Amino acid sequence: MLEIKNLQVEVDGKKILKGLTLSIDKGQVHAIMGPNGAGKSTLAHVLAGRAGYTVTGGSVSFEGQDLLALAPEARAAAGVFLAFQYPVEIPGVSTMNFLKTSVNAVRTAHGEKEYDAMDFLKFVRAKTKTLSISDDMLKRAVNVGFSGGEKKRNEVLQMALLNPKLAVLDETDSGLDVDALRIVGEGVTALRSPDNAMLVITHYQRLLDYIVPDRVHVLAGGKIVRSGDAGLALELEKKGYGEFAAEAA
Amino acid sequence: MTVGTRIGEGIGWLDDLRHQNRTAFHGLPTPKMESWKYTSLKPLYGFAFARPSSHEPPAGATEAALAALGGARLIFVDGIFNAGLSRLIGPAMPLSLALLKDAGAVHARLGHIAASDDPLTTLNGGFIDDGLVLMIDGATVEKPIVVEHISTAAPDGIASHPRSVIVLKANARATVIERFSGTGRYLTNPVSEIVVEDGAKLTHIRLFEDSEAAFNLSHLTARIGKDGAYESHVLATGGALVRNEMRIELAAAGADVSLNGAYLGRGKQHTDHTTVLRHSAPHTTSRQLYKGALDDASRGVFQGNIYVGEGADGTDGQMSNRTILLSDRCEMDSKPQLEIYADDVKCAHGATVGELDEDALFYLRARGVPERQARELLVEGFVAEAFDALAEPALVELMRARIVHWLAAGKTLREAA
Repeated sequence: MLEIKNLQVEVDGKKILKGLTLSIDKGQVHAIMGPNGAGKSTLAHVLAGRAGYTVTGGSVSFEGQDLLALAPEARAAAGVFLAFQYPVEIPGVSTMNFLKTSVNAVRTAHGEKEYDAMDFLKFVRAKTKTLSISDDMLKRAVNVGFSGGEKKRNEVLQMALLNPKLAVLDETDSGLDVDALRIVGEGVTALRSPDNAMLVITHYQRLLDYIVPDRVHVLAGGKIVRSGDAGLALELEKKGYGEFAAEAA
Repeated sequence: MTVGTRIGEGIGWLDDLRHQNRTAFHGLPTPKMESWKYTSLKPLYGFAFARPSSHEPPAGATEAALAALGGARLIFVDGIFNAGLSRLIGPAMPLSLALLKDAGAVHARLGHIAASDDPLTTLNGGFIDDGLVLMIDGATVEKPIVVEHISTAAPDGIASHPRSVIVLKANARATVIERFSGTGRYLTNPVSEIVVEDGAKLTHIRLFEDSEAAFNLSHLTARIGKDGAYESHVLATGGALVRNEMRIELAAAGADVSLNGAYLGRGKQHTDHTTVLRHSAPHTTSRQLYKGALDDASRGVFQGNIYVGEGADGTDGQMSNRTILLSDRCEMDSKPQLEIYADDVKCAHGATVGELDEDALFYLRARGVPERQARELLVEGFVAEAFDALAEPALVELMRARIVHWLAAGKTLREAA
């Protein structure tokens, strides 16, 4: 489904990713772990199409399509979803309006009929309950005044509504207490299916207690330096990233 | 300027008032006047604006969304009341009718608090065209009173000088929605005098949707009594040049004023919001929030002055003006001012000028929203925040719908750099 080959990326002239290769099949969950500054978030942003990242080499193919050639909205329509590490606040735009605009934009891109307000409300209500998202939250402006947990739950709600083929979770566990982590972890796990794939980017192992990965990769110094099964995450939790600092240098 | 038959001619005090004002008028404001530094009326010099004649407005000139509110409707065309299009129920009536019914009651109010040092108010006073008269004794008018000022084109331009008087006596409550619209080149020079007495509340919505060749120079004076409230919501999307000046006195303890404004400009539009709030009694509160988005070579002006007089202790005055620039050619001049002569006051002002939030734009696009639509949604959200204070959801929706309409009509909402 996702084929990243020798990806090289610069930010402000500084090389961040230095030849990253990664392949994810549908139905799989891959985790990328690594020390701070390894390039984890850069990878997430490049996949979603954020401006300010210069791809200087390599390729990213998503279901046979050149992903890097697509505008961010076209990537979303193609089925790529990024759960933001820092969800953005949008004053003046209600969460409900934001969700409806997003879902209808993707439906339009797929040639499907837009939801009207009533149908959309039903569609949303079916997803909000398990994520402990209240109607009040939906009325409030997007992420404005939301707690850390509310912001991340809102990200998972968007993921549930858009039902992406590939979800990239960028440090979705950061800033969450134990209860919020459980809701988010269970929420994401419920979305796992044989037809989609996930790339879970995290610094810690704890989110992987909920979303057990098929493969775990260590990203250090802009490259994947080691890969293994779920056991690798536990090993990293014990030993830390110390040994990879040398490899990356 | 041509002189002809005007409403109420032959009523002695009104003839005198017009005469006094004509004598006192010595020309339009110039940039040498402090409060006209950023707004030039040069395009108006030498323009022979004709006096209004009774035109029928073009089909569809009135606003269906306002008619649907179901209350009283007063339609003025080129400053002349159009009975056929109007719906007179309740206490609201045109000035022309109020003069026939009880000229004395009008005399007791008209011209009493209008600014004497504003050339445009003086100009209005020299002509005094038809406008709204609303006088309520302690009652509540449930449905919004809709007033539309429609101007039609004439070869040499039309000038109208609508005059409105609103008096809410103790504990009265009403909502007034005014809309300015028209076709072609014209000048509308409306003057409103508003008195909100003890415990009364006026919610005042004004839509400046004039034609893109038009000039609208609006001047409003208000006086708020003990525990009285004046809540204003202004949306300016039209006109070649719109100036909306409001001078409000918080005259007794507990007076509460909330001014909310949104302005959207494109092409070469010029929009000016000028406010002077005079806190002259203790424990009065004012809130001002003006938000705008400017595109192309449009220009915005905000001048806000909070004046706290001697003895007005416990005054709480907050003023905020925030603008998004959507092009490199637009310009915003923001001048908030505080003048404080009392102790123990809580006053603050802030002004920001910025661009659309790129992070928010990316967030929306990453959720599948095409760039143009994402920009529109962000601008809508930004300016519509000015109407968060509106209690009636239907009216919030009305304002939002007009913002959305304006955004959809644009060609040049700034593309990604």
